[in-house]
Amino acid sequence: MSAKNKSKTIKVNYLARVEGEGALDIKIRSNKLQDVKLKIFEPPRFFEAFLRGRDFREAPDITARICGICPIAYLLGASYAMEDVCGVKVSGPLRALRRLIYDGEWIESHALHIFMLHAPDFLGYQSAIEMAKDHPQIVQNGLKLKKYGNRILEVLGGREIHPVNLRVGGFYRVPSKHEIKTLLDDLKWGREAAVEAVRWSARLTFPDFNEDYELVALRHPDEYGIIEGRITSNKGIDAPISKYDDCFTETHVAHSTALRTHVKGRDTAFLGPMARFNINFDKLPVFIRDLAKEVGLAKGCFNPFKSIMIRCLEVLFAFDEAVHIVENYEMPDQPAVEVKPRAGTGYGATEAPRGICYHRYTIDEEGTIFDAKIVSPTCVNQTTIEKDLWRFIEPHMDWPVEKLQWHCEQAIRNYDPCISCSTHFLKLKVDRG
Amino acid sequence: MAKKEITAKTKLMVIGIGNESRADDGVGLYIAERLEQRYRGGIKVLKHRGGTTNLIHEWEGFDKVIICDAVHSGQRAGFIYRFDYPKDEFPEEIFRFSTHTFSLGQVLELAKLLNHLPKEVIIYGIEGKFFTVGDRLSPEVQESVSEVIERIRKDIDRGH
Repeated sequence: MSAKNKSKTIKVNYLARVEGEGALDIKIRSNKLQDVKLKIFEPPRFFEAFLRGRDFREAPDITARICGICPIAYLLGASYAMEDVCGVKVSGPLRALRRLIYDGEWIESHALHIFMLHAPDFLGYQSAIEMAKDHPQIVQNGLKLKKYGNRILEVLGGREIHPVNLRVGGFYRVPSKHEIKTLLDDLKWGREAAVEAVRWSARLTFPDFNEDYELVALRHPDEYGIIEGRITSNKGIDAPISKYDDCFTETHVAHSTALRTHVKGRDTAFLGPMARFNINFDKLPVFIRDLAKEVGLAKGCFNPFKSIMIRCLEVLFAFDEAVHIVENYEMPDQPAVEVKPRAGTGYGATEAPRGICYHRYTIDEEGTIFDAKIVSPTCVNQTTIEKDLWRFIEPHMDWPVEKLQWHCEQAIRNYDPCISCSTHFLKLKVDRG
Repeated sequence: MAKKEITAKTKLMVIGIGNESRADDGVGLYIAERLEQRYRGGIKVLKHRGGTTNLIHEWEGFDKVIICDAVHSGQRAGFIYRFDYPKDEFPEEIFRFSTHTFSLGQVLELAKLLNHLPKEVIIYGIEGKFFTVGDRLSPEVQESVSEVIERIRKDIDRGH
């Protein structure tokens, strides 16, 4: 990094404590902020291309390899899209199991991020290892919460990383009542620990940084939107998932392999926990809404630094819902609904821990995939992150470089960016001259 | 899909870490598989492919843990490192890890800080030649496997 009297160029070559690889360039000339570039340099991932020609039943397992932290978002997003085109609905106990495994993913992803990746920023540590020396209990609890989230994936999915038990139509095998009840004690512990995590997070110090975002999330009439719903925003979007492409535009920029997304006719979109919290606040259980109010959070939170608090609330929500599902579980008669292919285009979107993860597939009458589009939430959030950085840096350009870098990294981690999956590819043109 | 049951007498665990789709990065898993067949349930063997932070919970309750993983240090392929952690200086940078998870060294240090480290931790690092996509070990690494297994057998027999 270098700093001159009136000009500064700050380069963070490798962002720490984010999933994947990214970098940040900030250019200041004559005391004016000239440029901010968030650079994604994960190699382009050709998933959308190599899905063509595959069988529709392969899409969940192939796309799950996009992300090791949030595979359920891909397994279920792909499954819902294929079920959509084939005219199949998964309901009842099978749907409850889908909610349960998604609760597991939220817990393990959020817990990792809250306690191991983001908390060090707020407490002034370079890493969770350093933080553990002074705050061992915070790290212990975080690891335990993550472990119990992973256990849900293991019991329902067969393993934690890239679960193998999910398929289009449901599962290959469903757990017995006894098997699923082995989770109960841990989930109840997690629920209590999550309440304390919410209160702990409220004691952190947050910069005053409120912006007029367009928050976009799934909204469902009966539940906190996770696996199904309508695309909804605080500025007027209210559309079925099948109209996702009508809601957003995508462009390619030179410094990144990830496409940039804007709300059609408007500005950037903000996906993730803060969007979900604002749009689905009334669908939270009463005791969680009360707790949110107790810690000074209510519908209308527009400070992304407080996302850490909202993630704690979502961990609590996920544990609470998981307890209810496990306590009321009835083993389904069949592990899956039969799905026969038919020609057409299907759409699926679920709320990955980081926000809406969208899938669209076109298949033929034999179930061969002709076209695929997968949009990860970090891909959509990338433009919003850059705008946040512009707004954050401008009034603080006189800060020492180290302090500016620290806070920029913290601001990026508000979004828990999963950079490894934020590269859904443009049409590839090869010019051989 | 159920996890292997831990018996009341099982205080030793062997952990193979790696990715069998990345050529020599699979050596830890390969060694763990061979030991599992050799001891037929007599010891707890874990083949670990996922997030390393979970190891802190996996070895809870065990007195002695032996870990195998591929390394990349510039040594000749097949070279065998052995570390007695934390007594020996531990060059964590030679143990392969991704940007998506904590390194083995970080997890060991974290476990130490949280008092979750087994009484005895032995780590074998085998120098890999190829880490590209592939499902076979290179000949040099394959040749080292038997020696590593023999050394682990002596570690197991000593005081177990």
